[in-house]
Amino acid sequence: MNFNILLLDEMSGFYKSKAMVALWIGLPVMTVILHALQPNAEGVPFLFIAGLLVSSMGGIIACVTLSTSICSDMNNHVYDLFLIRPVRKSSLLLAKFLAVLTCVLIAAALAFLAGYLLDYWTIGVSSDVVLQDTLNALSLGIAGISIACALGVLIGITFRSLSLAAIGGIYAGGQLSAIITLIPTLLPEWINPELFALLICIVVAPVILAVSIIIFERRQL
Amino acid sequence: MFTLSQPAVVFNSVSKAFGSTQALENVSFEIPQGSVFGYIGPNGAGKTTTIKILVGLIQDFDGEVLVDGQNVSNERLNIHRMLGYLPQEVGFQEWRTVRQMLITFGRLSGLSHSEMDTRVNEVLETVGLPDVENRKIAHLSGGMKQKLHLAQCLLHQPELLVLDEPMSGLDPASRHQVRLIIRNLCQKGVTVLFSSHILSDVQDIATQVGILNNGQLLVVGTPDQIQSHFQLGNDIEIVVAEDSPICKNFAELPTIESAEELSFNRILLHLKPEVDIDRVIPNILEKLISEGCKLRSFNLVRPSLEEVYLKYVGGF
Repeated sequence: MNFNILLLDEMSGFYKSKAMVALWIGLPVMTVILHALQPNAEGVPFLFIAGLLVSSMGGIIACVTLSTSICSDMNNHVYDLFLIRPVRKSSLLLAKFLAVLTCVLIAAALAFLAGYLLDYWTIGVSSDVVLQDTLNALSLGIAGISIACALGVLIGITFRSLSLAAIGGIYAGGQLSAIITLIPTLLPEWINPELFALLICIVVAPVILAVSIIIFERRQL
Repeated sequence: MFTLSQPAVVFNSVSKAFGSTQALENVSFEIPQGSVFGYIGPNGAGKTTTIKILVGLIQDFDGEVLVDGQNVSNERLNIHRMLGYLPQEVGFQEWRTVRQMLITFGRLSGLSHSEMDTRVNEVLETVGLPDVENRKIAHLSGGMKQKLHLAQCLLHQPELLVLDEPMSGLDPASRHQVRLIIRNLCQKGVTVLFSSHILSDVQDIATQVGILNNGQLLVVGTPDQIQSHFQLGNDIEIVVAEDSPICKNFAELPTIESAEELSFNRILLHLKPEVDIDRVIPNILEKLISEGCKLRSFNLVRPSLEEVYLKYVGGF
C-alpha cells in the first residue's frame, strides 16, 4: 500500500519538478534536431536517429537522474520523515527506481514514435529492415536503461558528494550505453538480440538493485 | 492508546559508538505517559543520537529501548504508527507545496481520504500556517518550515511526540505558540520528548528533565527535584518600602555567604549551600524586624535550570 503511495509521489515529483517534461519533450525534439544538424543524414530514417539517441543518451539520463536525486535526498535528510512512518527502506529505493525507469522509457518510446511519424510523413512507411533494427535498438535500449537505473540507485546510495554521484552516473551510464550498443555485433548469430536484452534486463538489474537495497538497509542515514 | 500500566518510553543501558567516538554510554531513563520530557545538553552530547535510536533511524546500538512496552528493534513499523517525529535537520523536495507534502505524509501514516482534508486543515491551523497551504515549501521562511515540520508530525495524532530542537529558528511569539501546543498535547495525554538549548523553554513546559553530557545521562527528574537536589545555594530577595531603612549587616548571620544590594530598597542574600532554609528564614525575618525595616516582599529564589545545567555540564 505504502509502496503505491511512494511511487505515485515520485511520479508526481518528476512531473512537478519539470524533469518529466524535459525528458518527454526533450528526447523527441533532440531526434528532430540531430537529424536536421547531421550533414550526412539525408535519406537516413528518423527512426535510426531516435534509436541512436536513446541508446547513447537514455542510460546516461537515467543513471545521472537517479544517482543525483538519491544522493541529494540523502544529504538533505529527506528520507528521515519517510522512514519514521510505516515505510520500508527498500520501498523508497524501488519507488524511485520505477518512477525514473518509467519516465525514461516513456521518453524513449516518444522519441521512437516521433521518429516513426516523421519517417511516415517524409519517406512513407518504414521498411521491414528499418523496423527490425528499430526493434533491436529499442529492446537493447530498454535493457540498457533498466541497468543504468539500477546502477544509478547504487551510485546514489554510495556517494555522499553530489558531484561525485553525477560523475559516477555519467561514467556508468555512458559506458553502459556504449557497451549495450556494441552487443549486437558481439553476439553470435544464433542469439536473438531482443531475447538477450530481455534476459539481462531480468537478471542484471534486479541483482544490482538487491545489492543496493542491502547496502541501503545497513547504511546509517 | 498506550497501555496505562507501563511507561511510554524506556531506555535501558543504551550505548552507541560511531567508530572510536562513544556517542552514548549506558543511558537509562523512563518517560511516564503523558509527561513532557525535556532533554538538554551541550552540542555533541548525544541528544540527537538518543532521539534517532528512539524513532528507529539508528538501529545498530547496544541496550534496549521500549515504546509502550514494544522493543524498537523488533516492532519498528508498529511503533511508527504511534510516533510523531520532528527532526533537527530535514529537507523537503523543492517541488512540494505545503498541502501536497502533508497529504503524502498523512497517507503514509495511515490517514484515510475522508479524514485527510480535516486533519491537514486542523494541523495548519494549529501551527499557524493556514494561509500558505498552496505555497511551495522552497518559498517558506525558516520559521515557517520549522512550523511545517511540527505540522507533519501532528498529522496522525501520535501518542508519542519526539521533537529535536523544536524551538530553533522560531521568533518569541512562535516559540510561545509551540509551548502552548506542547502543553495542550500533554493535557490530552500525549507523551512528549523534546530536546532544546533554550533552557527557559524546558523549564517552562517540561515535567521531567534529563541532562546529558558527553554521552552520559547526568541526572533525570522533575525540574524541582533537579533544582533542589543540586546544592547550589539558595538566594533570598528582600524588598523594603522606599522610605524604610535597609539592613546592611547581614554578614553577621553565619548562614549567609554574602549580601548583594540590587537597588536602594532591594537586597539579595546568598545563603550558604548547606543551610536549612526553614531555620534560616525566621532568623532573617527577625533581624529585619528588629532593625525597623518595612518589609514589602520576601522571596526565596531557587537556582534556575540554567544555573543547574551549567553546574552539571560546565563543571563550575
